[in-house]
Amino acid sequence: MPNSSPDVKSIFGRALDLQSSAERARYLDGVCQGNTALREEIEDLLGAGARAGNFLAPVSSKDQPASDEPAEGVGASIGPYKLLEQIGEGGMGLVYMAEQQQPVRRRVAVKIVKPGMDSRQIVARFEAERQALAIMDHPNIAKVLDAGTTAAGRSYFVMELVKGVPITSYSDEQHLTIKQRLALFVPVCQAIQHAHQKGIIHRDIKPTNVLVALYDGVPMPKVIDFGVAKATGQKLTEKTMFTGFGQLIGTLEYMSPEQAQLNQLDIDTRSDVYSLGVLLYELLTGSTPLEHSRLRTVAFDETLRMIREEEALKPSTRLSTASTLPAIAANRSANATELRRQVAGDLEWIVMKCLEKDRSRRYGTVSGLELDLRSFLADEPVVARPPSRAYVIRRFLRKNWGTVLSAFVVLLALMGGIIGTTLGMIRAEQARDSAVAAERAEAQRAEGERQAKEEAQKRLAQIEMGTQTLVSMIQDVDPLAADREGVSVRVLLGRRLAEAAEQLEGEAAGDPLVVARLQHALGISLHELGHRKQAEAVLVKALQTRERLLGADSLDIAATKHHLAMLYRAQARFAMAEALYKEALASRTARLGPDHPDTLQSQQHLAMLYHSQGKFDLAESLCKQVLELRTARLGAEHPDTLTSQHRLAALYRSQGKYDLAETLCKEVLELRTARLGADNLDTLASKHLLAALYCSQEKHAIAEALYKEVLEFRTAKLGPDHPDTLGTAHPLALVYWSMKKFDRSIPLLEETLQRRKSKLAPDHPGTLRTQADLGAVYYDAGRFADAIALLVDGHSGMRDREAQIPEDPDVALKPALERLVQLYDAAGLHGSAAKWRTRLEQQATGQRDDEF
Amino acid sequence: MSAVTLILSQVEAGDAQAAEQLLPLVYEELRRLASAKLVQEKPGQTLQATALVHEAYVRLVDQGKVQSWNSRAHFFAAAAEAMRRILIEAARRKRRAKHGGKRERIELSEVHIGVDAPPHELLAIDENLQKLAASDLQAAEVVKLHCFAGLTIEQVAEVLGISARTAYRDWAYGRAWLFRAVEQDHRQARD
Repeated sequence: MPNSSPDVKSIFGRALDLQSSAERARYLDGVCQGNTALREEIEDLLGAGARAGNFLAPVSSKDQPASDEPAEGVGASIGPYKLLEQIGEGGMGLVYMAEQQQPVRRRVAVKIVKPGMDSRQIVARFEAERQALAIMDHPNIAKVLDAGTTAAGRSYFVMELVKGVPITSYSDEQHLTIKQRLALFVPVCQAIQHAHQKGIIHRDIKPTNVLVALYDGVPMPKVIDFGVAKATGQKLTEKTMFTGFGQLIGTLEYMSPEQAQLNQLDIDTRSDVYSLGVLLYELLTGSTPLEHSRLRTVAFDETLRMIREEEALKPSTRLSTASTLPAIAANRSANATELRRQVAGDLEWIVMKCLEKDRSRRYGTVSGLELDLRSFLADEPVVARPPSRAYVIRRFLRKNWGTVLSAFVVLLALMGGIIGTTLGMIRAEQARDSAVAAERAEAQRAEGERQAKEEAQKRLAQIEMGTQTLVSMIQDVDPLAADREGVSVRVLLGRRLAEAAEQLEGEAAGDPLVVARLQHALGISLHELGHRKQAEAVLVKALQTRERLLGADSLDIAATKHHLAMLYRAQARFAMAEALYKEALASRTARLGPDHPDTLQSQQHLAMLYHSQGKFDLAESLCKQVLELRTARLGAEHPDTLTSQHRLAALYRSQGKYDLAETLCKEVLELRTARLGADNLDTLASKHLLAALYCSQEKHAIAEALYKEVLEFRTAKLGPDHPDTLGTAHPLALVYWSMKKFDRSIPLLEETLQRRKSKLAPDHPGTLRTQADLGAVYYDAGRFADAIALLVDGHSGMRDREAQIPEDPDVALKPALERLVQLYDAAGLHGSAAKWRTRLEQQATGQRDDEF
Repeated sequence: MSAVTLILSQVEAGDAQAAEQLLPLVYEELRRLASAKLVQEKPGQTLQATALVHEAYVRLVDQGKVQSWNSRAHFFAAAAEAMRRILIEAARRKRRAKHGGKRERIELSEVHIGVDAPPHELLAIDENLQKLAASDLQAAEVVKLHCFAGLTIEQVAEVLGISARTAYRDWAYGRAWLFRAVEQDHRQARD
């Protein structure tokens, strides 16, 4: 017997799909290409399959009469219906295409209770579906034509045969535009509304239950399978909700949060509104809010939790992060930008209103949804609105609590401290009042009182102003207006913090050191929120004040220097960062000792800076030292120790010591996943590093998978514009490039470049590198004109940068420069290539001078 | 928490060896259920693998705790194997009884469970199923879960994490392959 290869199986399977023997023969001729052994094997198997008859068929049900009564199957006749072919299998019934012979000849669908499934419960549900369908009469719902019991005693009913395809597949195949899709979706709403009016909830709305068929050339959606429908008047018991598997009724991706409750006793028509929302979301974006791939990878109760709690991304946001956006757009006869624009705004608010977790926030009825869709199609105002300001702020605070909190806590602590000392002074004053006057000279007492009063008043003014600052920060944050202007609450909050900082300084009330402390705290928050320019301004002011008023060895000065250095490093202003780190480190070492956490932090950061500058040996020795001290002091599994280990792994990667790096990195990833969770930002950083490592070793497939995971989590947690999110999008695009997947690489790089340009300085190394890489990919894909245009643009960016910061030879620019040279060479522009090569060499020399 | 639930939790937590402990537990439960059912039912009645396996699932697995696809797959794989063993044992006993052995009273030999096939054919199917597994493991798994654990093809697809379409193809292929193999056995036996 020839060994069956996967080939045999797939050819066998495809041949089986072909109906006529002539088609099969043609197919086999084509695919076997004269390989007679293969052909014989397949025909042999096809023959065996045809002869097999009842072979391995499950035994007939115990509730059935004697076994000489044949079970209904293909070829059998039930009344006037001849079963032709099984076309579907539901939870409780089998669906056949059948031919009706009397009184008219036509094709119908016959649904029969499954053998062995005829328990009283299932028969009751089956009966419920039949009745549900029978009382509905709507052009977009498959009609019931007949019902009865087979000779073997099984219930069946006969439906209109819908020869259609799922609405999503139809729309994609026909490349329907967004408006055309909506026009197709509106009748679906009407059908469901009709069912609701008859007191029936569908409960399993999904593409495979909404089929589109052509009637006289006009596409007509039909809702089928009311198999899990529930009559609203009927009492539900918990039992009917589960099958023997403990599965919930419905389909996970389309299930409403209330359906995902284990004791889902309380389902109403708004549950169908939710599922319609999911269907609409999929029609617009090509994917469901909770993607199938994600649902399949988690435990069942986690799946239910996600359905109940996880907020859906707005459709336009989902589109922005989709790696297949061009294909999705093409299926909608639009380009990526057009599609995003069509979906953003009113339309996505309609979808989001359906998808509210709290059903009282959804449309109360399906006709509400339908009316809004009609208004949208007629360019009239819609009922759906972005969520209210308070609601958005609540949600924002829930998500970004850490960052916001750090700013607020400092403010509050500051005010608390002021209040505390002020109260203390007032009390002291009162004590003095009641003390024996003779003990102190009258004049002395008066002077003391005056001073104390003045101080107290000054402090009270500070409290007043602190409160005002606090209030002004969120007072007029209007997410509605902001969202229309395309400014996120995150950005807005950052602006407010900056304004607050400015106001503080302008009014300069109270103790300048208090103001400096506030500025220091605000600077850190601003940096975390991604507002580097404003962060720099306030940090510099804080540093100036502190240097003016405090001793040179003050730890406060060291702290501000450390944070300012972090900011400079993030901006790739390395020389300035290095000086500040070194000063902070020296001061901390002197005051706190070499193994104090703060000292070690500065040392770690200096090591990272050396790493960024390409001074690997310096970085390595520092990093190892920190790792050793932290391990000794904190233990091997402490988060700080893991950070050091992660950094060292990153360094090894840069040095090309891949084996060392991989071992270390995997260890950190494992510990972080266990201790912090898979979606923690540090865990993601380690996963990102591992991906980069595989990338360096040209293991593209595994790198792609890891990068994709990180990108998904970071987009969800940090937003699509965050530097870290973009820092993953960029290498992922490069992996696609290495795999020659231009259709994925180019749009992703284009998007990354656009986002970086809007967030970073146009001459930031990150922007320039993206630009250079995109140019290279264009070149590789044969789009020479686009490549050259980008290169010229990149030119001026680099020149500007050089003019601005001549003292900062930036090694991160080196790869970009090198690629430019390569590309010029490849493009035949050798003169330009030579010019840049010279500059590259100059820079390398400058780098060495700086180092020694 | 039941022992099976505990094991499934371990499987979920990544302890692959825990899965090996499932089989004996599931096997015992299925035998016990089958015997208990026989006492209640009238003689000559047929028990269904489907019903037995599902009942075992409901009894053994705490559904509030264990729900990942992975652990369900392990459970049904064990159940299919347990059911296969029970059926094969029953078939062997039946054959021994026919071939003049002492007619012992063994409950299971009195009934058909699962696949509607005479004992000798069941044994032939089982032998060839092992051969199929050697050449196409997935097709063999589909057949095993469908025939011995009584899962529908859709459920098999879900448990194995493949598409229903693929599962149908595997089923059609596996069935044709086994049918041909059993036919050949018959021919050789006649020759």
